[in-house]
Amino acid sequence: MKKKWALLVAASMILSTLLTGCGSGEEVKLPETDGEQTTQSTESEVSTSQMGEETTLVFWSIGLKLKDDSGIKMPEELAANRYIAKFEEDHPGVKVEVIDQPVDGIHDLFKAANVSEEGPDVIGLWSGTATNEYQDYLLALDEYMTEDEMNMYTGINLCKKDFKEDGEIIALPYNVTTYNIFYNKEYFDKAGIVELPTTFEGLLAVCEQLKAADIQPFLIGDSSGESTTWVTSEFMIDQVGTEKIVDFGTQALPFSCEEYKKSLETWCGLFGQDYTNKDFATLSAWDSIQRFVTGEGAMNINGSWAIGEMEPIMGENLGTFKIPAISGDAPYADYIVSQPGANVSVTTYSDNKELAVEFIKYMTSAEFEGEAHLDTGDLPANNQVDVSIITNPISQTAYSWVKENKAGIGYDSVISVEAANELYKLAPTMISGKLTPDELMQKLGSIQ
Amino acid sequence: MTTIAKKEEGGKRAVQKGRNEKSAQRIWGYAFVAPALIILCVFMLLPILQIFYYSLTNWNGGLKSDFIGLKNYIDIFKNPDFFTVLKNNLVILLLGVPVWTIFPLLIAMIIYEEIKGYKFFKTVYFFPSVLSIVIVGTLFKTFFGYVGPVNMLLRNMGLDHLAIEWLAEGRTSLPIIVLAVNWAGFGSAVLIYLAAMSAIDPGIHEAAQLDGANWLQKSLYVTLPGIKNVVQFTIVLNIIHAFSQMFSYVLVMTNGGPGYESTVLEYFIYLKGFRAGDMGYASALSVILFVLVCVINLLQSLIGRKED
Repeated sequence: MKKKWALLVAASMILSTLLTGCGSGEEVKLPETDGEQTTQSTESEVSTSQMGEETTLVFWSIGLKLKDDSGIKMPEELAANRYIAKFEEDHPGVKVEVIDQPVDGIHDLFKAANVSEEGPDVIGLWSGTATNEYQDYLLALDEYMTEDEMNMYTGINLCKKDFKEDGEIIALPYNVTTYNIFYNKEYFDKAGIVELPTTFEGLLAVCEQLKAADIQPFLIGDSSGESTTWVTSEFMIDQVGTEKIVDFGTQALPFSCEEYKKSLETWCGLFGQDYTNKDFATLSAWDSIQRFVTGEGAMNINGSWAIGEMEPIMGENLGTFKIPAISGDAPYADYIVSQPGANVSVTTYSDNKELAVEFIKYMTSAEFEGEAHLDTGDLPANNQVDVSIITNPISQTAYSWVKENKAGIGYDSVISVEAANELYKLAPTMISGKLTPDELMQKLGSIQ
Repeated sequence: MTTIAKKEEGGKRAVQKGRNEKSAQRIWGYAFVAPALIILCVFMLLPILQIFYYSLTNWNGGLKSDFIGLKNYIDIFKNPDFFTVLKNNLVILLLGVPVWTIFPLLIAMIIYEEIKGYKFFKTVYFFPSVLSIVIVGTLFKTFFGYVGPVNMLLRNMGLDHLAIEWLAEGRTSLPIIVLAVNWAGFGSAVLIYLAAMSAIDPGIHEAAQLDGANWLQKSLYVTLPGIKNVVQFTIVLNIIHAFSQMFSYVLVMTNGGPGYESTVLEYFIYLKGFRAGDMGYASALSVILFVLVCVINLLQSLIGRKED
């Protein structure tokens, strides 16, 4: 008898172990409709408003500032949180469940969620290939938007399927970025530099002047290939223009093209001449900011997202100029790379598509992006934003470049994820002289 | 029934009762081990077997998974980066295993002599083991950074030519990684060795001392043979470590760079599987790693058995 009880206990333990984690929701049978019985899961992740129940929009967020790490602003003071709260207020019965996902992990989480179609209603992702690779799971927004709404966003092509002009829009951008050379005005004055360089040759001349004044010209961080990618992107736009750059993705413009070779070789010309810090290959672009603002190096290559980090410390001593053109006679020498940094999309399997689209329009509205700029310093992608809200002179300069409408996307946003990762990995080796530009081009070509 | 027959009957019943009890104990044992075993099978064994299958497909981590035969393996062996990565693992193996085995052994031998303050040292040496790998990696990355304390010290000593970018090249970054692993792990190894040494009959040490043996002779001819099995076990563990515990150090300290100069097989699997999204390729790499570790351990145990 005792043995039977023991076996019963053991059997129930086995059964409960097997059942644990197998399914997390119960099925609810809805009333019959049209003679067919329908069932619907009531799992908390995606639930629909049925018979007056609360509707939950699940929002996986990256790219929005939901908390201030410096502690200066409380979470409820940040624009993102305020606008989400306001959206809920304006839509009684709707709850937005925000999950601030880790930047590194969101792709794996989203891939896994897509397999089971148990993912979020709304997802924020980095723009470019990072969004495009999920195009089969992202709702085409064209039918939910007017012509005017579609034209409201700078760089919207990067948010379209395969980045084609006539592609369907699968995301709306939160912000737009530029690549900049930031400089220390005091060092430039000390070296007697009065004119900012507009060509790479001019930049090298500036480096010589700084070196002669015993000032380290550059503080560069390229451990993840960031600076290489940004500068060579600018050089490619200078040579091929904004339309042809998209061909890098399909390799109609191959990695072996002369323009790319020239871009890489020109960039490599900055190194090996004592113009930069010695640890450029192991220092990240983000970490280089800290050393630049403390006075190491007269110039730093970074993006407009760094303005918020640099300006509070350097104040009026901070200046910026465009990454110089590869050469004065390049056909698109006055063009820059400017593209959305992060964007937001609706999933195809969302049960609340219309509500989700309304939400993403709200979170990319001119009002929101203007206020978000005050929290983050990010340049707004919505061109309806009142520009007077941008008071930081460095941000004003960068935004004025965007407004010139002579901008294209970076080639790393259109090539495959694998090729981009290989570029980021091998770039520091190339500028260290251990890999030739030809070898890098060959490597990328074999992957893409 | 006669007394003898009764006794025999009683004896048979006792034996049968004993057998029944053993059988019942066995059933109880299986019943209570079953849940853990099922979890192990479902969450460990099954995924391992699945990796073998996925290594023969072009699985992208999502729904796409077509059978492609040995293409992944062919691509791996055609890829020069794979051999760079393998070389890095071998460097860590050849450099790391002796360091991770011998260094703690020496420390344990010194502590075993119960020198003044040995209890303090035992605690202090274990302290790095409780730190997370991320902290250890970040510490060493900072220490050996171009503007870090090590280079500052070298410059202050007038050795500017030695103040190099330690983590910028594979030939210096891999030994630094080995050093970091040693610093983080030698405390646990010391404790393991000390536990083994304490199992040696103290009488043997006393006899050796009476025979005039010095510390070195006692260590080599008494202590070391006495803990031979533990040393062998440590070597096996360290070999496995060299192939399966380097990921976090590489990620934090060098990101496998520059290029693939400090990339190890685990990190390569991560790059291919989770950065590039080629899970089929990553699965094939995992199978190769598994086979490699099995072969090396088999060789090591064969050599060990031969010596016995």
